[in-house]
Amino acid sequence: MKSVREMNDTPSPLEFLLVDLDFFICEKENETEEPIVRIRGKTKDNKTLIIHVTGFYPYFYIDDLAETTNAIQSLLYTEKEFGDWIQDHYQITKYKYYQNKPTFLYKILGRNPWRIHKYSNKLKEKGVKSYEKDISYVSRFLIDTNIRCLNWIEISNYEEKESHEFGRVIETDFHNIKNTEKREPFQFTILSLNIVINSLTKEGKKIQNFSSILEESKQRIITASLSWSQDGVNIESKNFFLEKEDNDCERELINNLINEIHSISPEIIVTFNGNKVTLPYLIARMEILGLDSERLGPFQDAKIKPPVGYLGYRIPGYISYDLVKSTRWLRTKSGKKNLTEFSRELLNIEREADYDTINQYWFNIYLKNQKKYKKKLTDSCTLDSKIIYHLFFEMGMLEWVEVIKYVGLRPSEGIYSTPRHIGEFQLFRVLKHKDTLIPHEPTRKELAYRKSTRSMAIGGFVLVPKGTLHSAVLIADFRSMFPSIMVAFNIGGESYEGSMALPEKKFRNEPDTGIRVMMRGLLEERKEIKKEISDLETYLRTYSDSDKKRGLEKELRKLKTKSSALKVTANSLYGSHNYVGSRFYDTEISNAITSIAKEYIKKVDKWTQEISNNKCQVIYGDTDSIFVKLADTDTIFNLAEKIKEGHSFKLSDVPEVQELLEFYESKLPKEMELEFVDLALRIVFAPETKKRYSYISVVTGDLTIIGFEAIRSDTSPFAKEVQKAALQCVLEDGDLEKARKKVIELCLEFKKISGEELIQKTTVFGPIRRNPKDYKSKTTAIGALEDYSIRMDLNLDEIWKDFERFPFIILEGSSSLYKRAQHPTLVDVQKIDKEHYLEEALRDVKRIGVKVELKDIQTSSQKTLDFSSSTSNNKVSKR
Amino acid sequence: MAFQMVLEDAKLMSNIVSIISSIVAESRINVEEDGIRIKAFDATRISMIDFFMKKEAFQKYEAKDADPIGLSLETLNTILKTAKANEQLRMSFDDTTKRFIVEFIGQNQQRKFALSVIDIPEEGNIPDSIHIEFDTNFEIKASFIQQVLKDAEMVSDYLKIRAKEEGIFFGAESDTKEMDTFIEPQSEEMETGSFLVSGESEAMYSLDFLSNFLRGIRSSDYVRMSFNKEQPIRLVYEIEDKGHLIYFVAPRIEESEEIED
Repeated sequence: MKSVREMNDTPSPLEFLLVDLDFFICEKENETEEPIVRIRGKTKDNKTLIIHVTGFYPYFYIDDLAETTNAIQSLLYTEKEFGDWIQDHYQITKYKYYQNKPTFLYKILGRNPWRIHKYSNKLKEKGVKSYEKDISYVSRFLIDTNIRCLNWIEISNYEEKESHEFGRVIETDFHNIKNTEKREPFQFTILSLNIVINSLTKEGKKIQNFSSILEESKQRIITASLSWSQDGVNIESKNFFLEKEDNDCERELINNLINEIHSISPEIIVTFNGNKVTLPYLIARMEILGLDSERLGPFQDAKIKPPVGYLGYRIPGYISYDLVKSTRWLRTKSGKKNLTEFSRELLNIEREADYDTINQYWFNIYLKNQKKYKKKLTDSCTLDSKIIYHLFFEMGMLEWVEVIKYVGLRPSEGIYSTPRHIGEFQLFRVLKHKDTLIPHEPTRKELAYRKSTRSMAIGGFVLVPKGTLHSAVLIADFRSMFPSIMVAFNIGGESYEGSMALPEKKFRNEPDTGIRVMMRGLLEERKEIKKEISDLETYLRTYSDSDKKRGLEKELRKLKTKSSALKVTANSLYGSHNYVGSRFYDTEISNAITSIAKEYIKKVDKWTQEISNNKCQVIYGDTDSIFVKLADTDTIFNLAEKIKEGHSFKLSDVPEVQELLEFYESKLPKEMELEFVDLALRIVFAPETKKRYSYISVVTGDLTIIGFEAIRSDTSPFAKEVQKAALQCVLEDGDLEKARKKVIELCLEFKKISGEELIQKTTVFGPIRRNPKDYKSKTTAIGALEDYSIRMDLNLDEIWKDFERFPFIILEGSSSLYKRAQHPTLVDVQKIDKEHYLEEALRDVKRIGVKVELKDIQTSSQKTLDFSSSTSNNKVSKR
Repeated sequence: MAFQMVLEDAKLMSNIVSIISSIVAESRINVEEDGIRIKAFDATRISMIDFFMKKEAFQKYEAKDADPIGLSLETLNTILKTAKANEQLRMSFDDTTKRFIVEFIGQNQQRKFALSVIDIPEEGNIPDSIHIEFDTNFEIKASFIQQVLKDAEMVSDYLKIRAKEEGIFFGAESDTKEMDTFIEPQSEEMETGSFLVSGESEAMYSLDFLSNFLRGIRSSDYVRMSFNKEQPIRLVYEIEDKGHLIYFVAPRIEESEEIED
């Protein structure tokens, strides 16, 4: 095909969304290697483009010392390949990250990116230190061109190479690529992929050990299912079944599956357990059957990369993601973490059949010729792949995609990255722009040294709450506290003086550090978005046209997603300074940030006393929030009444709060801001305990519980119920006595219940983190699990893996708790240790100042005094 | 408004505050024109203390339009415990520093403490006066009832009191132990003239609560006790002719009986 340029005609610019990219090496005729960046893009009309980008060479820097030229010369002399590899080298001035010192360097550009490491090491052997050799070629390309993945990109000049089933292939020089201003949303095609492996013997009996099936990879894939949507609304599904137990049929199944994936041409491929089962098994079977596993990817010849570190399987060109990565912080009621449980809890969908049943269906249809199971098999496989599709959204992955999009790092890696990677990547871009050298990743030796010398980080500052129950309390937060401190005090390596000065004075105010530049941009953008959100919310409250409203609500959701993406990025860098494995690890810096934060919490306390003439008081502070007890309680109580009657809250209703916030604003640096969060009618703190409080909001009337047992999973439902009821009484009515009565009432009721209700109220979940045999001291959950495995005749070494948390109930007796813990299904209800649960509940309410002893709820009942009708003989109130 | 009062015997106030603080940790103190008063429920509202000391009991007493002040009685107790024999006690309120001042005045020496006041909301449902007609009234020597409490504490957490015309029965029981004490109206330890019992009454009270009050009473003094069947008990301790300490404790009722209700 003739190139457009050859036709002497400048092609019209091409606009596309950058989905993913990798690189390959092209061998030229003169045996030199050329690195080609390969981009998979999608046009507005959802057509795939494959762009080969030339002219961008990998590089690193070395010190420009007297011996540098000699070192290069000698390497050229001794290593012929180095001469072939080196593309160019020249002098350059950059600034060191620490102290911003100018430094004179040579930039060494090469050809094959894989050789960077080798040649930088060779130079090191000759006494020349190198810099930025550990930035991957693809990242380098994205940083230097400032191109952002998942955003719209424009190519102004290019050549058509070929066109095939995977899209148009074009070639261009890297100078021709740029970001566009286009902000139009792109509708991602998300595809879920699920396979079922034959786990039955030829006789149809279950093979118990699934690990050995995975290890040996001898069993065939019997079903493969896909679900996808191109418009985000209509979901399509397709299943592939193994019809005969032979290699040809399995090959056909896999080929059909791959062809279908490519014809759908998704951007995102999602699996559940794809890193441990779906992808490794599929690849293993392909290799056994003589199929090329590289065919899985849209580039056809790009190697599928197995999981390493935090990354999962990467199929260059697609963004592949295993949802199991997102389940780390999720809890299920049964304590098991599998597709059945997440489907039930997050989507409220029951799977039609588990994998054992699907195996049975397949066995009956294809080996026993019972066609009546065909529908069941199809339905269950379809549902499973649809569940996986829906879970992608339900687990918040679309929000994460938005974060990747903001920073624009390589999506196939970014999908698995942590906020720290995101923030650092953004900082790389800023540092590159400032000509600042990016610090290198720690070597193993450095890492070990950091770990051994790591001092205790100064955590977020938390004041011990003063007193237990308070009324009329203002809750205010420092808006993006750490990021705003970074901007206000110009925190970063470049400005750090390393002095013994106070944290606030440790950093010079100029020049602007990379962090300041990055954070300033982020905070400003977020402020704008928050304003848009607030305007839109006000508009939505008053607007009645439901069609238009739906559109605006969609817009609002997008803005909120973007706002949280910015927040994640802004908050990520504090962690970088605190994480030993980071390039930016520096506890002097991270501790300076927390120390400044701490100072400001203390300052707010001082300012509050100053402005209110000691009438208002900071009663609690927690990292970035402060709790101020107001003097004018009458206004607050009256306002709460008015709000109950339908009045909507305005800050101007509480002049004292306005006055305080204005005063704080006048005192704080302009980058820092204390913003109103809530107004507590009453608030209760657990005595002498940090991060445990609960309050009733004047603004919404809602009960908020932080840190108390009532929201913790390791507490029995009964204890939670009691504490929540007590909190409600204390907070709604400010009445400890009422709370006390309520607690006794609930405890007395508890004493009467039995059967299923008792089981439900006493089942607690405890974590299972490793093989029970590796626990030095037994926990109750481990005790129950061991008991369970013995009674159910299960292998303890296997069964523990199924549970992230294990349910148990404590039975009566005098032995240690772990010996009395039993799985709920095995429990004799009569033997449940009610007293244990009562004690637990009473201990929890004691923390909020409600004192009830076990003896108060036994056999006889203690009355309280009530003189409301004091002149008569009726002097006792009954509970 | 400021106030000040001087008491001849600092130890007397120390004893009183020791009793009250074992019942309520923090309380409002009302300094009125006729004397000072503390009236408060304990945190669980099972008991209530009513203390009054008239102005005549003081050597000097000046109070006009004084606002009630909130104090930590536990702190006050630790200070008053340091009172020595022959020390006078002056208590006052400094309007400028907003502090409650405690001074011990001995011969040629003076010790002074200043306490910050705390904000304690007024408690609801405390009646100004309580008039109850009791079926059982008797006055008993503190040392006797203190012994009864000690005996009962070895057995249970509760004291059962049964009053009959022939005398008062005190008892306690648990699964394994029982304790019974009987006292006739004619006993040395009983004020025979004040023994007034109509019919038979029985009630049960928490030993913890009774002990909090009774253990602090001088053992040679007498305490007046009054109750009705399953109703609160009232304990009255007259502080010579200077005032009184009255204590109410709610009863404990067997659950089985409650079901019958």
